[in-house]
Amino acid sequence: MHAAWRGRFSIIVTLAGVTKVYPPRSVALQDINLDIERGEFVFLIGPSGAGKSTLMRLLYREERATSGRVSVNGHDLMRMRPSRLPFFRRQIGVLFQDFKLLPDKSVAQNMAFPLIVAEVSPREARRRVGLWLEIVGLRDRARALPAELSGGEQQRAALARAAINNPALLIADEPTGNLDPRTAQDITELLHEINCRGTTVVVATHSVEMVDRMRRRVVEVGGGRIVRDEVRGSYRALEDGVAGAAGRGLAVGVQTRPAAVARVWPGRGSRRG
Amino acid sequence: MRLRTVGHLTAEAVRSVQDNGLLSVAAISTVAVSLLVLAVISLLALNMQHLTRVMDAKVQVVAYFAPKATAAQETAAVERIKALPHVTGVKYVSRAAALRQLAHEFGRDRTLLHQVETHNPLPDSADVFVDKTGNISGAVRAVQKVPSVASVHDAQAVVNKLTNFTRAVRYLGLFLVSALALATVIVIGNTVRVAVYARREQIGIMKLVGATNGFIRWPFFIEGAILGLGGAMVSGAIVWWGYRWLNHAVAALVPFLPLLAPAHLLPHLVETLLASGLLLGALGSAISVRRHLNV
Repeated sequence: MHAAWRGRFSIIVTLAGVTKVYPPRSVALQDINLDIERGEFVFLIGPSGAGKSTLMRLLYREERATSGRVSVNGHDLMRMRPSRLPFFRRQIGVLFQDFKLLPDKSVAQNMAFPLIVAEVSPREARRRVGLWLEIVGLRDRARALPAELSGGEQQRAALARAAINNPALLIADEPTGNLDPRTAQDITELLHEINCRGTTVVVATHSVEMVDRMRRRVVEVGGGRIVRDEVRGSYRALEDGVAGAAGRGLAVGVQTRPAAVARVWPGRGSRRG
Repeated sequence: MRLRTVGHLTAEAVRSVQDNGLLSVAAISTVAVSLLVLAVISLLALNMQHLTRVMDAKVQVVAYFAPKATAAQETAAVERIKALPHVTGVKYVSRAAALRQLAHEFGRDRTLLHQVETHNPLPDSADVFVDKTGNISGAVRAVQKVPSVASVHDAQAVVNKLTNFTRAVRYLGLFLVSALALATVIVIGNTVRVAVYARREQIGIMKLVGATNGFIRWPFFIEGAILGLGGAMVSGAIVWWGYRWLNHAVAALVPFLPLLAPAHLLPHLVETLLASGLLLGALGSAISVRRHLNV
């Protein structure tokens, strides 16, 4: 009984027999079964058109499955009324390859946006924005508009916006796709840090380096089906040995916490804003 | 929704009005023109109604005596008229008294009066008061038969014509105002549609971070209301100053024409204009948001 309770409440994402068909007959996902536990860091990999993005969109109810069951953070997304959707989305954070920052708002205003939407008090919003400006290293760029930022800075601002509401689940769709290797590593480190503080992170990526460096759970999608699910996987299953060796070396990179992060987040283990 | 959220949404709406620039100006101008037409028609109808009432309250029937009638004949005629059924009173008006009354109505502008003062063309007359409006035509027929009465002027006929004209102005006004209100709603709706299109990416992001439909829609409603109110303020200002000027001008040029006093009329009219602008703006944006905002 105790184990059953634990099992039930430690799962944050459940996809059971999920199929997604786009009209008229384009099958994007077929009979997907996937459980993700709270606190996990999951890479979703696969070639373009494999169904990764569709699967991600199911998780924040941008798309609705054609059949099957999708449950996220205790919410049955197949039965969720449209009026409840905004409140569900406040429990998750979403990060995109193209950042999706509001072009006419400053970095700080972009970060504060989910807090305004959630009607968080101005005092608390200021505190959280200040904290996240420090965490992502954009304190000096708080008043800058997105157009004045580099790609890496924009993605850090977008990451702060996605995480500022202290989400239970953070979904990142190709977060390093537009970034140079050094900046991509910064973003990876931040995602890792956010995960270490209790947020479940699901990242769809084509980045071999990112996956092999972190050696976390890897779910590979191909032809609309899950073709591989490894607890500590690498990008390519067949090259696991090679990637694994590289990964071990690179893993040091993500375990070393950036100085700014260490300063504003002194300890791990508890989730806070 | 909390007060600070309302403040945030209002600020967003104001910024959108500014960002839309020329389109906002066009929308405000359309509202202003529509409401100005509404105001002009209302003023016309109200003043004609007032004029009708004034005339109705004045003399209903006037009996003009023949120029050759003697004073005794006129006195006898007045007595006979008094005795007629439904007649409640008769007031004899000599030609000299009629001229004095005319001079009083012309006020300061005596240029026209000067020409008739040398030779008074007005006849002696009698103002005849009748108990009910419905009995006027019967009384007119009876007065016409009284000896020494040359002609009878039925003021009710003029009043009836005025009433009909006022009714026509009202119907025409209703049609014009409806057409212009529709145009206003369409123009504001179009402005809001452009705003929705310009902010479609922002709307998508708002949805992703958990904004409710109300949170997304409200700035557009407020934007429509601002445009409507802006147009109403412009038309209200034009009507406020314009009618006061007109009132002074009419008082000077046609002093006997009774116009409604601005102090009583304008505050209510401007209030109505502001409320109408606000409603038309909100209605235009509501229709546009419903059609173009997929939330």
